[in-house]
Amino acid sequence: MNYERVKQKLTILADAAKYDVSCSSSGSKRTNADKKLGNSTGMGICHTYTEDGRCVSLLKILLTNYCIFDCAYCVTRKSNDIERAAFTVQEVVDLTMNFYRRNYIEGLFLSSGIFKNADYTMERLVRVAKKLREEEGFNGYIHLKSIPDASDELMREAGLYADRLSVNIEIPTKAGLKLLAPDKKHEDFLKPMKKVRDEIVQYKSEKRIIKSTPRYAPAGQSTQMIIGATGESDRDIMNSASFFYNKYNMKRVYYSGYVPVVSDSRLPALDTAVPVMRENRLYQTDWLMRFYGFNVNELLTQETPFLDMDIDPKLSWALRNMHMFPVDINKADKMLLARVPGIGMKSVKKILEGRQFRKLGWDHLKMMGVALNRAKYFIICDSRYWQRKDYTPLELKRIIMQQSQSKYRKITSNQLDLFVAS
Amino acid sequence: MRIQLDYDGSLDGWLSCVFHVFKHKLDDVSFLRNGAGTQDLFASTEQVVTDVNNAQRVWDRLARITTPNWRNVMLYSFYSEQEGVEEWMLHSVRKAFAHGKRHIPIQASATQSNHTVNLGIDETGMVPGDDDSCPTGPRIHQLDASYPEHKEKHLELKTSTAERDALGRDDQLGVDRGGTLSRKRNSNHTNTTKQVEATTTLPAQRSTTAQDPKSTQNSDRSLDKQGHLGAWQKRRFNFGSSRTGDPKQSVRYDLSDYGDPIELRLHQLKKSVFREKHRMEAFIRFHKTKDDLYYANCEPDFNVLPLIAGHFKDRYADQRWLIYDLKRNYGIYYDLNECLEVNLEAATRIDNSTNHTELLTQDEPEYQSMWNSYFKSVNIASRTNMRLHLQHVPRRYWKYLSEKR
Repeated sequence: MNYERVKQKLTILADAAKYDVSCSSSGSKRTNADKKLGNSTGMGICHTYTEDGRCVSLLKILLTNYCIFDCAYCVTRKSNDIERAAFTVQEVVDLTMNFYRRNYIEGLFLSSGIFKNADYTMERLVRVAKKLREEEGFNGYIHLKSIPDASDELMREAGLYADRLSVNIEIPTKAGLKLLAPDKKHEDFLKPMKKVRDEIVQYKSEKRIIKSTPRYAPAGQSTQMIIGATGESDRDIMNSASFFYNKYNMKRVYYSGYVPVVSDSRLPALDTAVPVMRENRLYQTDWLMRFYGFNVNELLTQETPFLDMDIDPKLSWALRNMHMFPVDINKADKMLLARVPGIGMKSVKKILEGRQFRKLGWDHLKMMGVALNRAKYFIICDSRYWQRKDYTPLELKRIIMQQSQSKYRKITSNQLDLFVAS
Repeated sequence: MRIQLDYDGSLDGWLSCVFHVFKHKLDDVSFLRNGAGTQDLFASTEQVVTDVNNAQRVWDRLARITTPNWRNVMLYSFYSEQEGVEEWMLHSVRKAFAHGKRHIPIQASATQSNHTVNLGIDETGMVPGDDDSCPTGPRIHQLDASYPEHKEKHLELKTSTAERDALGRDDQLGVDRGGTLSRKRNSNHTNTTKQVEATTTLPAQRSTTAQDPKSTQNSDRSLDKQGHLGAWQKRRFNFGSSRTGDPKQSVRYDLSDYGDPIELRLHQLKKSVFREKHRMEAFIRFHKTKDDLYYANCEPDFNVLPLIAGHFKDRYADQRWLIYDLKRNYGIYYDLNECLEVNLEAATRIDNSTNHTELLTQDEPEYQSMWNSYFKSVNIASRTNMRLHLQHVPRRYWKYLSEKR
């Protein structure tokens, strides 16, 4: 192996793959039964973190960055003048095995630019996964990209070797896609997704009867959307995320703030800041949808199509629905407790179990880790200490914001504006 | 009057203390680890000798009346090595025994489960009468004898694949828990030294092995003292699933009283030890040596090596590896069959700072530099967030991470 050359390729192809947010290695269980290499226990491990604070769990690379498409938002688009490279199948296998043995990574995340056509590319990706599983006895995590418009037979084979499959929808709206990626069709993205979904459903039902049914994509599928490249609203984004969760049983939808990589009149200018904060609020909304029993329409209404940047989505929902509060900590049921701002699912569990032994007061809640600075206005508990609760939503928002320190204060604070204006 | 119990710092030692506390009905107790800890001027100190059988009896009773989660929290908290943690654990043990007394009668359990039959444990899990009345030898024999019955019971029940699996698991359980209880440690002694000798074709390391009597002795003593190995065999402490005839999980004692400040603290302690364990699973970086040994150094905040051994054993089943804790001066070595505790002398460790390149394979530096350049190229400069980065990878871990050095 020519290390220098491989290192060069690795630099180019890792650089091109970095805009894919997903790096999770969780949700799949593979045991290392026959004393070979690797396992996955369902809990992912982040082996290191980049300086932008993202987890590095998988060896995330492109097989090649040659591409026949010309999507405006993409670094590897045909018309972009960048260095191109391609790995051979053996090189990817060697890198994965050697990194894995040294405990650098949890597995492989293989994506690719599209050369020749979809099936030709998909076939190469499957070949890498097959070689790792069958020749090297590798039981680690493999995440393969489903190439839009790849044939059903290849998607079937891919799922047999990979733990997770994903197609990046990239642009949340059809109109946006037409504008930025005229060569791609919305249906092409959905085609492999549908196949994988159906295969997983089929696998699960067959598994109940025949135990030896070969496993199919145990960690499910995920997708990614770019935020802030076209003028879509938060409501558009979350509606489309909700569509993918419900219709395609997605394990995750990732939101990736657009990083300006190319100058193009259709896109934000090169010096635009990455919408990190908007991304964060979208993830919070995503979590509220998946774990806290919220519906998109509760969090983002027709009147408020954008999320409040000052406060988190749960608090802003609570302020719009003051009639639901106060909630009695010692009586309320699980899903109602989960709706109180400042109480997360971990705290909900502790409250539910702890209140069977004794009535809970402010001290107990504080010890359990409830964010009382927000929660105290929305709850009653076992205490003589009286908390005023007749604030109007606007007053309450002002009080909470004054008393809490957001890590985004620099971005949201508009105090300086007064002086700038004068 | 307050009594300070001085024990050897091992899990078995602590369980022996629990035995001691209940046997003598002690009320106000604090703990010393080999004399270390806060000396109480007004307390009298008692030396507690570690007795594996007593430890096993306490743990067996606890295993019947508590949930796996409770035992996990105890084990993790214990490895935090925090001062005072033993007292908090004892608090929870008392609560568990009280709970067991109320809800899980000992008689019923004695007829249903073979492994506690002959132990004669009363409601608190203790043996009535003198310690001497139950000499060590016979008890081990009894444990041995109970094992085949246990197995047969499963053979009769054997109907489905699931139960066949359970049988396989119990097989190991029996062997582990059976007569090997006290012998296990002894055999490990010999294994340790023997195996280190076998592994170390590294010229420098060879001096640590049996050829150097001083270091061997050292290794033996610290094995006794620290007794890390004891807890590795989680199965020995019958950790996982409940077996037939055991009380339902819902009846068992769990740490769910989050209003109790001590139990809440144990939860928090478990959380931080778990985090450290998880970090070690992530931040261990193996270096491949010329004799195909994968070697890594670490300095974890808590004594987590016993907790991570299983993970690495499952994952890297086909390669020999050695993870060395420089802070506590012991390591675990996997010889393709089992994990062993080893001690190396300072000069023989592969250090990050000193040049041991002659011991490493030729491609080792190549893969390290490839990993480093990979790490650099996946970073998105326009999103730099050093605060978050440091939160995830605190500086104290950097010296063992090739990409951060």
